[in-house]
Amino acid sequence: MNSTLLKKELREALWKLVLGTVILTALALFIPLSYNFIIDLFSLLPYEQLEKYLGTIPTDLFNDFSLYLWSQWNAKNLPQLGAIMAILVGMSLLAGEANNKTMSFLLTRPVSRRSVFLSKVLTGILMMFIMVWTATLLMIFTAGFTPNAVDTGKLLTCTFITSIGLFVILSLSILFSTIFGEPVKAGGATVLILVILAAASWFKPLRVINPFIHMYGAQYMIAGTFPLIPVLLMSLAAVGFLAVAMWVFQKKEY
Amino acid sequence: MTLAIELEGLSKSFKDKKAVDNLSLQVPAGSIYGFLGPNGAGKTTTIKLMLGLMRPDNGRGKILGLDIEKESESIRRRTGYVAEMPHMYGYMTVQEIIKFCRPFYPVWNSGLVEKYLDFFSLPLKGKIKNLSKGMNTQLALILAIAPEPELLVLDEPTAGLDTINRQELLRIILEEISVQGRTVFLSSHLLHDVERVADQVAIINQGKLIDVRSIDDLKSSVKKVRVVFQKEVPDDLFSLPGIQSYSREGKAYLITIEDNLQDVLNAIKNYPYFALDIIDQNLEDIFIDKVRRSKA
Amino acid sequence: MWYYVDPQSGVPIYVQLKEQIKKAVATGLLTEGEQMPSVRELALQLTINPNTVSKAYQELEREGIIQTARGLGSFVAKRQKGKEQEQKIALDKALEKLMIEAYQLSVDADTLHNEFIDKLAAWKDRLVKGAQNNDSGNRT
Repeated sequence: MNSTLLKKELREALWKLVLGTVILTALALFIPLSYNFIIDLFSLLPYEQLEKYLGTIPTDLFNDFSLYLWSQWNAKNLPQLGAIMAILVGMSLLAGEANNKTMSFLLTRPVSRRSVFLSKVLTGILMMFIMVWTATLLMIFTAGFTPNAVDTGKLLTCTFITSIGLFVILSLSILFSTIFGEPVKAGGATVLILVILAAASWFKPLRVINPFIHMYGAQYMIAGTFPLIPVLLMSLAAVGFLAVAMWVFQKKEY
Repeated sequence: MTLAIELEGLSKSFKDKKAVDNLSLQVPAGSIYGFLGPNGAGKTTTIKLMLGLMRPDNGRGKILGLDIEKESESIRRRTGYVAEMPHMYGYMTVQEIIKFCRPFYPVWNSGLVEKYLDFFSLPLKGKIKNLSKGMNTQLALILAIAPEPELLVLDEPTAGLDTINRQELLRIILEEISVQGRTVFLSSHLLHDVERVADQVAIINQGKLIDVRSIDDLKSSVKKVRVVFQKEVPDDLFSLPGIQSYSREGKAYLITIEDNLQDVLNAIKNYPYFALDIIDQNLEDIFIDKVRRSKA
Repeated sequence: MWYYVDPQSGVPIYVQLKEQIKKAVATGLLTEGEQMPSVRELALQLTINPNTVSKAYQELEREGIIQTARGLGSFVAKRQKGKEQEQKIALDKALEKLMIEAYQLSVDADTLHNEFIDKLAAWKDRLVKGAQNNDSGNRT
């Protein structure tokens, strides 16, 4: 690894990092701040009608503040927006330099391809880490100012589970970024794979292959059991994608 | 004699096109070596193979005694490279790219960098994306010579330069690399770029090596003879070894001879003639002639 | 700069340089004992390969035109009388080349003879004038 390379990567990605953190944080802060408003809104509706539309949702959703935060954040905004961020970050990490041809300039410096690859991957992971945790921590911090009780431990654990899911998407996007010479193609391929996985999970037996289902951490939030095996499998998949990406990069010609 | 570059049977294909075809080269350390060929002859691919940007399908290569596939990083530590169109980070300033490149190398001659930044009047705070094509090449040259490389590889370096800048570039190569006893590998499709400075030239076409010679040798071994005979001469006179081609107009012949001038001259003189001239060949003509014949 | 090379000419650059230095010595532009520019200097001035300059210098040294003192550089040699044998060989070669050329150009022997006499006379004349200039110290 090489600090010069890392500095350069971070510099190139800085605007994405800032923009991503701002957007995610804004969305995160909106959740606890709008809680009372939403409750008031729902209380205006007749209870029978509410039950008609939301019958399957546990009614304590509106009574349990932590559950509400989780349902809006870990089960909705964070996976959706986080996935978009992971794709946007990952797709240009390698394909960006291949596309504007600076890769051959970089690779004619005395650096190993391994260091180049690792500096890029590390940058991607670091960016996602900063975005996700800044937003989540600020959300929990803000929630502490409301009169409602917050189960910080549970929310942090759920965000950890979501992070692992986003890591899978980031790695997949990096893999395609290595294979394709254009960021747009890499992003498109990642979206395509995710859509296929999501569509496949409409069939019950295939639900298990959809990373989105695992990354909510629903089981843990509602039943309290930590999804150890899905988390391990997702980590393994992510590392696997990165290993393949590195292998492809070592062979790639520029 | 130590060799700076040693390629053995190097081949590289893209789909069905052979970009480099069983290429072998020996570049002596301390020389200026011209690597000549028309556009698309396989020069850039050869250089990319040498620097580890691409891997050969077949063959081996050593640069500064190091294996091109296994020890590429060490090769790049001791080799400067200026690409045909250097694509550097456009968002960086001149100063920033220098700062970026410097930590990669064990040696960095800051005095040299300053000298040539000043000489070319490159704007330190100017963004690379705003530099002209010529300035871009000049900056890439500075970055390539700053680590005092043992080998400098230049791929069509004069492409974006005007005549004055070309001459300056050649002078800098001589002053900073050649006079110090280091090696220069200079690829070009223009003979004009290399004939002034090169010790030796390799001519390549369609991925294949056509000829390797010193420039002096090239000039003295290839001659044209213009002869006007007094009578008809038999056709088999022109099948002598060494005769590359000939054209005739009546009894006047223009004969291109390579390597066997004296024997051919003796044979010609067996027939009575009115006039006989030996014409020194311009390098450009030799080059064009060789490339054209290799296509046939 | 007195020297000039034409890289595009069919004549090798080192030969062009050699001829020009010989001419400079013969015309008195370079005098006995005068220091020659270093290989490096001349290479940079003419933008040519240092090996080309070395090659020219080596041949000139072999022909006794210049002398190289290790560490000091190259100097214009004294015109040595003792090297008659080498002189004769070199002269023979040059004369023969001249005659072959003349033959190829179909110049007959008498014409060649007359031309040679004329040129030689003109040359003697120039040498005398050159010596006078040198004596009066006009050279810098």
